[in-house]
Amino acid sequence: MGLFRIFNREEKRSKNIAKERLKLVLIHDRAHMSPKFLQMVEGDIIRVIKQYAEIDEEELDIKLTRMKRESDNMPMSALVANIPIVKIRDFER
Amino acid sequence: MVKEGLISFRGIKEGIYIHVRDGDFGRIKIELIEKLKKSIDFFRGANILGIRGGNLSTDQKQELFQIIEEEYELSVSRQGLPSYSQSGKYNGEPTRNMTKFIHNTIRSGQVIEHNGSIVIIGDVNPGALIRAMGNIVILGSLKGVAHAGIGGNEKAIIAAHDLQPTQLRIGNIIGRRPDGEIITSKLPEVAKVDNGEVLIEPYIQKNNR
Amino acid sequence: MGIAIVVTSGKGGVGKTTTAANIGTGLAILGNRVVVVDTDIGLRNLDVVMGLENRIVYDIVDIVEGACRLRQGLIRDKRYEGLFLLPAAQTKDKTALNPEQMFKLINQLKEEFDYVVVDSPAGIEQGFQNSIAGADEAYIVTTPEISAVRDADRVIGLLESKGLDNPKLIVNRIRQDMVERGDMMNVDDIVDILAVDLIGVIPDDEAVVISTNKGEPVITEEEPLSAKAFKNICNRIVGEDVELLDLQYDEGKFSKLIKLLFSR
Repeated sequence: MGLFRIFNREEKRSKNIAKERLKLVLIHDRAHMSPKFLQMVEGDIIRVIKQYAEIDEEELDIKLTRMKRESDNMPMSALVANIPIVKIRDFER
Repeated sequence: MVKEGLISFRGIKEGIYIHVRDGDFGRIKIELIEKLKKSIDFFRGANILGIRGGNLSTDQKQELFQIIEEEYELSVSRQGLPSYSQSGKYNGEPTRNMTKFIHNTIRSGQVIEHNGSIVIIGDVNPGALIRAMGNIVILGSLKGVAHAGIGGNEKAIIAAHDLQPTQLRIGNIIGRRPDGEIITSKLPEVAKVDNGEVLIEPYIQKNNR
Repeated sequence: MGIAIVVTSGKGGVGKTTTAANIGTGLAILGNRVVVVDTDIGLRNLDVVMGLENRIVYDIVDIVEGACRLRQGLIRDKRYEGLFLLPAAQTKDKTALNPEQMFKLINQLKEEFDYVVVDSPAGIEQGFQNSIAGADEAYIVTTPEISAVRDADRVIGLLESKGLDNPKLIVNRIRQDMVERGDMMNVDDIVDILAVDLIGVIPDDEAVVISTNKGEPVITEEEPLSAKAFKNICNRIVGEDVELLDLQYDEGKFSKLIKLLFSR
């Protein structure tokens, strides 16, 4: 029992459970900050990118998150987009 | 406050009555005549109900009635003053209105307002506000704010079985609970205005044997 | 022209009012002219925390509606010269004010005071919107609990959307013994998650409860650790670099030093 506790000390502590749960909840909260806004952004991004590349619209994922700017550590909201590109369009017409 | 004369005419819904303050009967008579002379037109046709106050004897009252009826030809109603305006040590305007009785605890954020007197059978919690044109009597404890005599009547009183208000207001005068420890008399208390200040005194039964 | 600081949290019961009272008092102790404004209409409490409840005649709604002058509505603190309270109305509701009126009022106050500390109600509805109108800076109070941190995150997002960028964080009710056992999120964990600047850490302290009972903000005392923590926040607000408090526990046993330097 004692040995077991030592091994699992870090992971099993309630603060880590709290932290993990909180992170999950916040990802959800932030992404849902304004679904309509995100939808609009998503639509526009798709429209623009489609001019240059063929993308997998089904797999496209856009979410709002908060991170610190690298240059000066200022916290700010960031729009993270994951856009799978199937094929770049050929412009050498 | 404007210094009042000895005589004032007061209106209640049944008619007009003459309010007399304690004073020399000779001066009362002179003032009455003056007032009647000045505004005889106003009083003509009014229903004069009677005379109140002034510690007047029946004979003296009769003498005043005579002046009113014979010299100024005004009629004094034989029905007299209605009972609710006759008695009461804590007199003044508000007694004209009915008293509101509330059988409940008044909690924070609640306001009880009435243009007469208010009697609360229950407690008044901190954060609650009681506003009355007349007197306020609370059978439980008063811990909130009570404002009696709204409109400037400084003769109004606030009485409670357990008087520990956040603040008291009578007429335009504000009294607040002192900071720090409070010594209470453990008796019911009555607050009234004395010399421009809110004064709290314990209510002691007068006919203690 | 003074600075308006709104103290907010989203979640109720995390210590917004206590924090507002202590920061306001602390800034006044440092010699500033301060007004603390209670915007929790219908559930006012800043007055009792500061021990001024028996002095209230007019309130914020009276001032906004013009029932009295600004000066008449301000209540002078019983201990400190430059400290004033603008109480909320207890008998009305949040709709008695709107953000435009608040914006005007806060700006009026900023002309007369060095600091206007606004205590916000719990929630994110109209009362919250009122409280942030006119604010130059926002301080978020949270506790090391999931629910409080989650709500703080939501509020930070709302503040940023209203142009109140870079809100600062106050972590309240830290229990160092639990942090060391690993049963409470520590300040670093919370700062990591919320990604905002920290302006202070307040330990969970009995002295806060005792001082609130007496209607005297804990910062008026010398000894309690929480008083020192609030004093540090005030010093940081006026622009000093102060190291985060060493949260000791267990009768003099020192805990691991939290070496987080705050810079303004």
